[in-house]
Amino acid sequence: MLIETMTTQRPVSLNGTTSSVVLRASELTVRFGGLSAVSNLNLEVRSHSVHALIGPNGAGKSTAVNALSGFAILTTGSVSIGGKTSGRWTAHAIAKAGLARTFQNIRLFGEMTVLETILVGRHAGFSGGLFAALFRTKSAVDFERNTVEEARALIRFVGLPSNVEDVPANSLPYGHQRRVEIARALISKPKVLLLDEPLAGMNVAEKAALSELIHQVRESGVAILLIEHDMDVIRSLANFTTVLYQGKKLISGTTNDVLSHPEVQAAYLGRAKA
Amino acid sequence: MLYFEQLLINGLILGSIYALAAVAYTLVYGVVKMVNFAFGELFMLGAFITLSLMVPELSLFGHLMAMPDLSFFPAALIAMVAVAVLGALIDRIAYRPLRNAPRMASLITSIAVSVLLQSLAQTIWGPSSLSFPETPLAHLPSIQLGEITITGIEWVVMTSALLAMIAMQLFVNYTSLGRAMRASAQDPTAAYLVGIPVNRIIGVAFVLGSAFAAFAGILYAQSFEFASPTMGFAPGLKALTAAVLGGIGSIPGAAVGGLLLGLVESICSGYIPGAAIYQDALSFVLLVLLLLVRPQGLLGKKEMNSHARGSLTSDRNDKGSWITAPFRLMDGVFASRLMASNLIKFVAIAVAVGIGFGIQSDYWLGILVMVLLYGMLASGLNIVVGFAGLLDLGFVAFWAVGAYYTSIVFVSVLQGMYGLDISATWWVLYANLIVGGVIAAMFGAFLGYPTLRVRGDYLAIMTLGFGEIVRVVVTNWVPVTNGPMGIRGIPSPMLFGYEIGSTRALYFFALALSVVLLFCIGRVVRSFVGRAWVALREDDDAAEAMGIHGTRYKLLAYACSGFVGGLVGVFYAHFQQYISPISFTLFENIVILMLVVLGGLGTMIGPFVGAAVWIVFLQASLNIPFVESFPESRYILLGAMLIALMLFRPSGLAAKARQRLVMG
Repeated sequence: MLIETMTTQRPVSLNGTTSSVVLRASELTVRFGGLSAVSNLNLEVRSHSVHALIGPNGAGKSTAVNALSGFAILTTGSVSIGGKTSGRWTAHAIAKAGLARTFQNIRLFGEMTVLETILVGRHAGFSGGLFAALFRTKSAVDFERNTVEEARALIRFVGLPSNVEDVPANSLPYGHQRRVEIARALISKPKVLLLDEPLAGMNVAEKAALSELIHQVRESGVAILLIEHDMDVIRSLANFTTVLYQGKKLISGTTNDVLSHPEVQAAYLGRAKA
Repeated sequence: MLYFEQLLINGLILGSIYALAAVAYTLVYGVVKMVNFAFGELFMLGAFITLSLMVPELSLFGHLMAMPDLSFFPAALIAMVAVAVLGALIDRIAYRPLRNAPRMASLITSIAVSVLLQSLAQTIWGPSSLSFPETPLAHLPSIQLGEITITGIEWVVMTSALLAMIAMQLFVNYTSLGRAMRASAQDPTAAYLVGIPVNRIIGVAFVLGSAFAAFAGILYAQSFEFASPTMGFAPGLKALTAAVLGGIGSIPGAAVGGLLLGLVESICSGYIPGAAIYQDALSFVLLVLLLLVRPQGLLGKKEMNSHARGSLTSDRNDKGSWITAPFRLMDGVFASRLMASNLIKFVAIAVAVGIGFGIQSDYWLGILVMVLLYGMLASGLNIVVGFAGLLDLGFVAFWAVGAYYTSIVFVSVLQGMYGLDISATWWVLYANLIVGGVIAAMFGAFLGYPTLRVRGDYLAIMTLGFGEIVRVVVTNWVPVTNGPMGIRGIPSPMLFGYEIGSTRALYFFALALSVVLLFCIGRVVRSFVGRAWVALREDDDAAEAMGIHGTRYKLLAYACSGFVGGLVGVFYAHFQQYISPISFTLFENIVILMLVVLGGLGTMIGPFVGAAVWIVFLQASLNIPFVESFPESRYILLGAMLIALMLFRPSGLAAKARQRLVMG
């Protein structure tokens, strides 16, 4: 039984600010051989809001995330980011269009320092090439200086100690590596941020701190697509929730509506079907 | 008509031998997913050991020794067993510890093993080729098929190859050991969990593969009646080509690929005029085209194209063993604050200038020029291998392009066509440094573009193929390059009417070039470009997700590395005043790669540290009596050192001289 609660198309007011759709998946289908990992998924993520994507293991969340960030080839359908629509995004083009992401298993760049790692996230923002780097053009130097300042500000913002700047990022504790990854994503000034299980493997205190950080990012206006298993986190953070089941959208709407829906409760919270 | 049939037979024989050796690559690749470049050398050892057992006396290490004087069959059998054991031993010592290391580690290790074995063979049997004794196969009756005669040797080669491959196919598909091999190939972890001793199974693959390589080598040697330390190189690469052609991992694929390659080679060189001399390049052209169009081969699956993840710049393998103790001593030096400061750069330049004035011996100054030259070359290769993390075995081609470009401009065009002396056109050299670099860079981008569609092992094989194509073309395009004779009479550099001919002047010239080069590379690396390269090296997916256009930056790395290679090539030609194709071999490429690894991948100073250590050792060791009589033995050490580095300290000497990737 497929139930859909469509979100309204016109701008809605969230926490008193105007919100608009920045990421939209239309009829997104990803097939591997004969298997449909995701079929006909429609999804909207709005600025100033967190949209949670939930579902049991194998529901197609990861495939959906990979398709939205250009890592899985769409069989049919398209993805719009900030007004640009395509069915054949490459990962770097999608990043340039304004989508930043983190990975389920933290993926930093080996022994790069924290500062360098975060700077990489700003790569798409500068259009110069080899000669700008070699001859240190004014625009390149200015951009670098500004980016370093932004990176330092982000190190503070995500709650990393200020002396980690020149430490190899992969030598930090797990929770801090997560924060580096988020800072690396945020420095690109993304329109939409895709967080793939950012709270996995964290203790209660770390979860609370990182939830607060995600909340702050949302307040700054970024649209966030959040993959998460923890219902408490979703309840406190997500404005909207979409439930995936066997690659298909089971239900979508405001978090309260979705989580109180009997079918979701049955599937997710293990209660007997009402 | 008979001509065609003869070519057909030749092609089938060559093809059977390639197919046999291809089985070796395919078996090991199928189980461990690694290309063992050393099979070419096991092929050669099979031939040499058989030969040695079949003669009454032989000169080993320069001393005449009594040998067993066996007949062919027991000698061949012993040789195959010996090589099989050696193959398993190599796996146990050099490859097994690297199973979970980044791909590049096992690739470099297998190249090192290959260098080691080849140099060892040169030291034992001498560098020249030995004639293979007559075997009983020569007396077998020939078969008459209509007008075609197939000699005893020919049909024995073909039928035994066929039988061996059928036996292998049956073994893999119908025995429990074969099933265990297939299971390990599918998923080593799962195989291990259900109780398959995966490491032993891999050992079996190496034993069988090595025996096949030796078998192929023995057949090759007795068909062509010689054995030489370098005989395994070309057939080894062709067998690898055949394996890829057929679809690596598949035994019928190896058979089809081998036969096809043998036939194409034989028939093309028989019918296309002038093709015979390009025969060696032909198979590489075929390989390159194939990798572009259908990288999985004719009968294979698309799996060699796996993603790069992780690099060799971390010293996680350094578990504090005594072998790396001297390296760790260096760590304190390279990690010090002084090394990161600008002061050290001025001190280093001042010391280098002081050395230039202080040393009186022309001989040692010449060696120092070589140190700088190899340091610059290694720096160029380091851009691709160290920073961008792409293994490049065709780098020497850029070097060759620069060297040949300037030589042709000065010797054939300015001097030959216009009768102009260098004193009139001295400035052309300086333009050439740039133009030669740019041509090589364009060449790099041109070669890089198709290459980037493939990854990992295929990338290594493909760059190797390109390098070999360039070398073969340079060797055989006599009207332009003067072929193997090389180009003589290249003028020394001049500057405003002053000849830079003395070794001291050339040293300063090389020093100035090195400083400028390091300055430029440093600037590029300390910027978003360097960060993009390192990000791609460490995790290319995550880098793409940051908006880095992977293909563009990898191409840029190839182009930059090509530029450096071309520029150094221009200098090299004017420094040596003579160039020939033997300077631009794969072996030379491996040596340059070794310098980068020894010094420290992805560091600025590493390539020069590596060059200094190796070139000075190369000269200084000539005073050691053993090295004096066996100069090749130094390369045994090179191979051994490289293996040890990969096992214990892949990050090299100057690991701690980590390059900062931020401007300023």
